[in-house]
Amino acid sequence: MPPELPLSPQVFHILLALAEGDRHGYAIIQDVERETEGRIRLGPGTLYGALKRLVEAGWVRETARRPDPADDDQRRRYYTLAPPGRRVLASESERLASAVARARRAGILRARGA
Amino acid sequence: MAGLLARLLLALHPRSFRSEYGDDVRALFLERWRDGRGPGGLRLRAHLIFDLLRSAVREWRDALGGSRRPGRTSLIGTDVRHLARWLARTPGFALSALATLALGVGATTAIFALVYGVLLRPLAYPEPDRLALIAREGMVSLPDVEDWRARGRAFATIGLYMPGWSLDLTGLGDPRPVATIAAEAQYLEVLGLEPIRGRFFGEDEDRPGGERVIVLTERFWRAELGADPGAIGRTLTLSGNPTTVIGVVADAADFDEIDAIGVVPLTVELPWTEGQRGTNNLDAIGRVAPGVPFADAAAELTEITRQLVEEYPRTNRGKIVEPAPLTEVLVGPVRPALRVALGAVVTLLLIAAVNLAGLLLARVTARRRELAVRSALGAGRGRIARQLLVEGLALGVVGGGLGLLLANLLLTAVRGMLPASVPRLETLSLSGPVLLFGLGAAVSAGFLCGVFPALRELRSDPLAGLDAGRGTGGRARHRALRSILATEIALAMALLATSGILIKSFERLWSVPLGFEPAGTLSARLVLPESRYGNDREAQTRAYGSIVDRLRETPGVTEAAFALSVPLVPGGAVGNVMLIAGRDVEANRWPGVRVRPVHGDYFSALKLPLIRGRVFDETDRESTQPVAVINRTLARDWWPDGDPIGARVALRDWHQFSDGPVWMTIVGVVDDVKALSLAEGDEPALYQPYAQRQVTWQRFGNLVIRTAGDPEGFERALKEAVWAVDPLLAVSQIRTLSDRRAASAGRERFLALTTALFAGSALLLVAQGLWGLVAYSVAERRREIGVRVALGAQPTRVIGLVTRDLLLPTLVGSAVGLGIAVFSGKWLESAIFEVSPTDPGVLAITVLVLISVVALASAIPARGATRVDPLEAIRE
Repeated sequence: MPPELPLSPQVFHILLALAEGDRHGYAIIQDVERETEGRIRLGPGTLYGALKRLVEAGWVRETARRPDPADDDQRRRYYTLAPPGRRVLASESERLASAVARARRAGILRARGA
Repeated sequence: MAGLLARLLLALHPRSFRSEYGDDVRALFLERWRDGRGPGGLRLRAHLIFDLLRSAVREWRDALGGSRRPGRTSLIGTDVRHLARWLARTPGFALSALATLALGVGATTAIFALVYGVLLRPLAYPEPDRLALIAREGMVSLPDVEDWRARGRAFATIGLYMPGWSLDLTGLGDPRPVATIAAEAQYLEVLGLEPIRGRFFGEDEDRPGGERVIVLTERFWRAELGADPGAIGRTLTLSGNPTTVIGVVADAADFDEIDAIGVVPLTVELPWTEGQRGTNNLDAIGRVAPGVPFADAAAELTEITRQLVEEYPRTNRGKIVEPAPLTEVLVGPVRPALRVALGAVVTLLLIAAVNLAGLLLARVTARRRELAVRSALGAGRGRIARQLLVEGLALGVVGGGLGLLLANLLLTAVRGMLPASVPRLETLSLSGPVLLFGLGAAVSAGFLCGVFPALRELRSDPLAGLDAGRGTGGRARHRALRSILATEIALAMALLATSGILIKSFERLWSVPLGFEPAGTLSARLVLPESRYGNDREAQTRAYGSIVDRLRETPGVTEAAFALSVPLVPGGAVGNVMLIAGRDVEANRWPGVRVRPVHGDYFSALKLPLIRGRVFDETDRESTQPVAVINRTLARDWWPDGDPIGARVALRDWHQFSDGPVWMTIVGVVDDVKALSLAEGDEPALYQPYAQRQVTWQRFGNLVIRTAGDPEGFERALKEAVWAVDPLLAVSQIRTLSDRRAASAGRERFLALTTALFAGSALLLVAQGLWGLVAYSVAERRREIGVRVALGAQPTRVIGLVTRDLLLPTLVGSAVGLGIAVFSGKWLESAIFEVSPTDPGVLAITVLVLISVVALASAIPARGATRVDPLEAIRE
């Protein structure tokens, strides 16, 4: 079963983390926690459950490539964003962006820099 | 520990998930678990556990829902429905099972809330880990702190302050003494607090002769000024001085339990601290610079203090600082008590879970037919085992939910029961982490309940059950029942022994000789304000003298006295160093003594026994020969074989206030008293007539009266005697010394009470479990018993038959329980008073009580066996 749409915040941020480059599990958790300023904290169960479904849906692939030879750790599994995942992420981001744009027009959100 | 936890939690996930991701999840779990080391990491670890519980549910749903075989869509739902039906059929069992779990989870969660609230929750200051209490009472002066700041770099900020600086508030309700904190501007900065109204005072405003200002605490601002924003700029009269309110600070209740109304600038209030290296009765608090390890910061300060001792030997000799983490200072003293309480309550929860497991296991017998039919219809063994496990978990969740409601009630009750000395009591609640803990407790209890019957089922032959009711019962189940029984007895034994030790400890403490008689006495705190009595020695003596005289004339009052310090009443003890005429002693070897100026019938009011010589009387005045009375400890240390009467002594540290040593003649020796608490012995002490005191700042102290009847009714009379002399004087802390004594044993009483409660509940649970097991055993073996009775077996033999199996588990359980009690005794040592944690008497009684309970709880249902009608039993 592929992840449901709209994506849960956890899945969305996992895809975002992978969009920036291939990562192993621990790096994804750290990345998401840093980028969301601690608002989203992934536990190992949630992370691998989500990865399992993302892999099954073909959105994410395991990869043998190692982004940084210095960071290479044979025991870890690395994940990469597959083209379908990238498309889902893009459309999901657009959906959010249009929602934000509307919120801004409605005066709920101030335009950046204003 | 973490590895086991990870494996346990992973076991809850479907196999398909485990085989693919199990290793990764475990590795990541361990990595994150390590990230959660140290304070503040608790939340992360709780999150990790919760995450795996949640993902287990998610993955099962996915595994079952995702599978293509129809009809298996919600097996767990089916299990739960089975359970509901089964419970509805046996409501008595259902109720007792849920009650057991609710009680176990409720009590455990309530105690955890207590432990979490007091011990684990970080202080309500930003980055509390960096806060250090550097010096407390007497090891630091203002110039010292200035040197610390100038020479050290490990501390970002250091603030000097005097907590509990008492001022008299007039013009706002009754005149009364209020506590303030006299502090440097840096003090509030160290704590990291911000003004919620107005502003704080700056360093430039904190100077001798500066304008009097105060930053109010939020509590006072709300309670007394109705949270009026216009309070800023208002003037309060404090000890006769108009003082401007400049701001309000959020409550620093976590720090000092002194109920301060506000913070005032140190050197405005206490100008003599400026430039006085010899002044010592101040505290210092610091915030360690970011990134500096606590130990390094402490070492740096210790080194600077050592340098200062060399540079200023006259004032700084003997000064040492031991910076301690603030959290440690606040919660350190209550930690042993709370640990014991938590240990006891977790044991109780375990007993409850094990007990329920036993009942569920026994129930499997009753359900053998049902289970066998299910398996005949195609349910695999694993399927049935899982059903049993899910049943346990569902019981755990429902019982746990009830338990959390119960915990909420318990917390309210516990808050009223606890000694007020427990810090941060008012913040107790069922907060997020506490709820999480309760949930965890419920789920693990449910898991424990279900796992025994489930494991048993996996190992059994499912088809044998079809023959149910005809056999003599499976061997495997009996083994499991016996080990459950032994576990339960061992845990109950350990709990009972601990409780016995704590009760004995309380009893010891309660019967400790005080050295005086508290019954029939009343004490009250009295402070003569500096503004009117400041350095006027004569006015001070006259005021106290008149008050004591008036009290003596009050009908019903037999004795009245005034003293700087009264036993078991905090504060008022003044330290000094005593010189003895004609002795040749190395300069730093003279005895440190507590100086206790007294006036009136002090010794007779307290019934403090005179050992030799005489006590003071009306002839000892300011102008007569200075005299002193010493306590037994001081006499024993310095006149081991001789007679101290007639010896001449002086107080070294008050020379500066007179022209040289004031030599006093020792006229008497009195017994030691429990001055500070019931558990602590007396320090070397010297009593002197108040009229002959050597310093004029001793304007504060306590009135003590002994009354003919109940002292409680004399509160009004006491106040009136004071106000007849000076209507503006504030009288506070009016309490009987019997009350003080009870408060001093508060912690021990609390521990004895709670563990006794737990041990009692444990005994009840064990009895309930045993009763159930024996009753089942009888029911199960009806046919066998019927045959034996038909063949002429005597009732005693029949009873023996059904209870024989209990003997071994009882013995093994008791032995293991005693082992646990002895082993964990070390852990108890810091919480008990003059009792060995392995007191043989207590342990013997424990064994006796437990064995009686076991005998009673099994004998009564076993008698049912003798009433089996052989004809009926065989026909079944």
